[in-house]
Amino acid sequence: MVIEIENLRLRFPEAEERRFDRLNISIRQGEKVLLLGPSGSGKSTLLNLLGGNIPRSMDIPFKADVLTVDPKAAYVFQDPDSQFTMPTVGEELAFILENRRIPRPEMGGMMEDALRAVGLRVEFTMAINDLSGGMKQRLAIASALLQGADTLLLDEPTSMLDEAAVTDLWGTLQDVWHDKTVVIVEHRVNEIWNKVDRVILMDAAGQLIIDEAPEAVMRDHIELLNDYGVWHPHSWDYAPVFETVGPRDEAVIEVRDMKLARGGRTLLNIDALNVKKGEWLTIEGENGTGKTTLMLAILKLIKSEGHIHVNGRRVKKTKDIAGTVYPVFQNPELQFMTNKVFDEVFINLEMHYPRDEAERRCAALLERIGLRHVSHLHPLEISTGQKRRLSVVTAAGGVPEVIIFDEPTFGLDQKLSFELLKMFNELVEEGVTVIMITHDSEIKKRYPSRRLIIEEGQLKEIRGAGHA
Amino acid sequence: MRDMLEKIKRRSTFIDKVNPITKISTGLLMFILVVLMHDPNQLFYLSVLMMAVLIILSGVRLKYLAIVLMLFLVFGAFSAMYMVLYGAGATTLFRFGLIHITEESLVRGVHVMMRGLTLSFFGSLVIFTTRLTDVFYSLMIQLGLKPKFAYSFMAAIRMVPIIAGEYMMLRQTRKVRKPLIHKRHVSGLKGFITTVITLLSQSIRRAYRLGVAMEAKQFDDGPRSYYYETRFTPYDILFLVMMLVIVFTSFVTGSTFSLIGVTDAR
Amino acid sequence: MERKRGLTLTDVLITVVIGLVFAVIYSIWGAVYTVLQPLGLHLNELVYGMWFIAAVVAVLILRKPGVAILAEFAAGAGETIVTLQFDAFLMVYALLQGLAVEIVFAFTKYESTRMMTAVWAGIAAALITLPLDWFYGYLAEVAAWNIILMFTLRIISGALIAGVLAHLIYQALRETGVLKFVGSRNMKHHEGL
Repeated sequence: MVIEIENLRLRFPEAEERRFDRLNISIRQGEKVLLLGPSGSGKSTLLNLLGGNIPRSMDIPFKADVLTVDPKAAYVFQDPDSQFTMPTVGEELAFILENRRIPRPEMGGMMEDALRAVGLRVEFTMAINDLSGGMKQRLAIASALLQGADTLLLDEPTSMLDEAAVTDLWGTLQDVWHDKTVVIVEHRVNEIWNKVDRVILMDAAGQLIIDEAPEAVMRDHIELLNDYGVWHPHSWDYAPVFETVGPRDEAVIEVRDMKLARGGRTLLNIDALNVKKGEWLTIEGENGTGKTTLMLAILKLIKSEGHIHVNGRRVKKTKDIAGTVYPVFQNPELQFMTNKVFDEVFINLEMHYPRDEAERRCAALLERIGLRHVSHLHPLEISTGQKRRLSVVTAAGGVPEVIIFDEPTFGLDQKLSFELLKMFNELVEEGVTVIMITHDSEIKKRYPSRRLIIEEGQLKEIRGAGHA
Repeated sequence: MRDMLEKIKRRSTFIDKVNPITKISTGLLMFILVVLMHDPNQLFYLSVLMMAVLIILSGVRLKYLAIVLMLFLVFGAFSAMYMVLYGAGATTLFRFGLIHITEESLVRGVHVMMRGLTLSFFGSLVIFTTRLTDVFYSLMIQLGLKPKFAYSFMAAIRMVPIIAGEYMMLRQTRKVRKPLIHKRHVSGLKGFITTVITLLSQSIRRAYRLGVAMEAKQFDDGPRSYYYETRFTPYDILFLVMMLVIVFTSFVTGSTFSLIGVTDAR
Repeated sequence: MERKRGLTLTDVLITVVIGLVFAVIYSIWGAVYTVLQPLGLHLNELVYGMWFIAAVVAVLILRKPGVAILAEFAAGAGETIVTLQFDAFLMVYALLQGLAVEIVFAFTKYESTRMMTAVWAGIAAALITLPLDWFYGYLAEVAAWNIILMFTLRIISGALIAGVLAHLIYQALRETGVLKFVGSRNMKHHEGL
């Protein structure tokens, strides 16, 4: 399937300005294209046009002189919760075949073949909700195969996966994509960079800035990629470098004899964990080992055995440490409770200062985290990176003593990730303790003053390159 | 949902094999029947028989059934209370201020409660013996329901645990923020609205994306093939006969072996 | 490109999901309602309007025919699933209440999103099931003052909860920006491209 778009103009409903203005793009049959661009550059929108989602399902006004797209294209989206229709693996695969009006007796065989092709060995009756993130994405690829599409459109398919699953997923995709046209929108590009034919960079106005082979882009345009803040294989060479700030001596959090259980099974035992003031700590571990559970336990949001002391005081309830130890959840949306970015911070400050002073401090705080220009917007309307930053300052008076981040860089582009890291460093310099739950090996390698890992139900410390 | 059903099921019975449409239409007929029944004696036997059917034929473990039955009885008693306490009648049993219990109102209250119980027993029987996907497949295949409605329901039901999980998360995040802000932002109407808004906006976003994904998978509202075959079988007839026998028996025994002298609750 | 007639798949999905979100809320609300019941003074009627708020919120959001009935049906069906109890009674009520809301919005050709329209819809939904209650619950036999109290409280509740509260939720939801891509809109938005 050849894709050809000429002079495309597109504008979002209720928006003043055009999202795309005179966009041209053409993709040859069987070509593999990686589409890059800063947050909000309209990569997903373009992908939705290429497969006919616009105008089929999305009522977004556009016009084009030439528009040859593939309305039968198959998609893999980033969020499994919003791409599956049915409760079980078998029913989901059958849904595609039902749409194609394949007779019932032929379904079983085709479904088995598709699962085999993506290396997913599960029963048809398996509930999709019980699959891991990597398995869900492989199921999505199996669905795409059953659809019999010539074009495969991948919209950040790995952004919810840990590193091992990312490698698996790209391996699986390469096994099945040889005769297909493939367009990929992706942040984590290391694994895929040299396997595509072309790399395209879009700017915030929807113009194609770069359109060349991947080797040529790496050779000639690294500066441009950095300027636009998109990830590339050498991104980390340009990552911010901080002077190491050693932790101070005072202990902030002390955990003794903690035992975490889930569903009657012991998940995690911690004999002793001391966190010092000004530490930058990472917590690693495979999916399901209990990293997020540990965060909730330290905050007393779930029950656990053992003692937790913060600043020498025994913690019994969440409210004992509210404002001192503060979590930033993976879904920051759930942390907001007002209808303006400004108010989200202001309601904390109004407790401590007179109105004028609170407003002044609030504005200053928003300025500092770079959200001043969106302070009049609804907190649910701003981008993911902005939400994460906003949620940091929804703690008491602005800055708590310990902040625990759950996967803070998930799904962010290079620019926003680096900005977030700079912000963490500033916090640490001020004596704030930063605890990060993260999968990102580059972050783990570069920034923390101490690394912890959860293995076999134990919390262990990693020293240097090896284990303790 | 299905996992939960498998956990509480002890064995499968023939009712599992009855077409969902038969069960649902019987449920509607039961509703009409119960509304038209005014003899408390007959209704008493009907509710007892329905309870027996639920216990024997739902295939659910007795431990869970006991909990379900207890809840029904408590809710039933609550719903009858206003009739008992304030209903009009000639034969006074008890009077205290506004409260005026009469024999007539007591009978009527119990009657209303038995109506609710009969429907609840039957309703649980249906829920415990029916897979949700089968309901929608048979609605599409046997009754010609448009696929867009059937699949929207199936997809949305898949989201219910996600919504519930999100609500739990939301409560945790509130717990963290609550001590830091004025309580007028979290409590009362404002707290309720912000909770609903967050849940709704997340769910609408997800539903929108899912709609896009489903149509990208070439779903349209036209003809399609079906992964599950649902049809009417002799079990449907067996089920209907069983229900007829139950209704008939309760009518006869109710008229023959009256427990109380009142034959009309009105 | 012309405006799509009737409900699209996305419309249906969004409506059903709105219904199910409220189903979860209804199930929690059911406990409040039940606790208030034995007091007998019909205080429970004051919260009655909650049962049809889904219909009003959904039709305000999507502004298309059929949405109110579908949302209320989904909420009722969802409650059935959450409480593990198939309740024909509840389904009949849900459909009727949805229908009442539908009728009120049909009068405005599904164009109005004013609060008063929502209030009228709430009142209509509160009224529509009264005949059924009358018959099912033998209300003719209940003391007259008690009946009048019950009707009055229910209408007030319909107006306040299904009307005013539903409209507040709709307005707040619009501010989140999530409704930009949703629901009926005019054809003129292709102009100027």
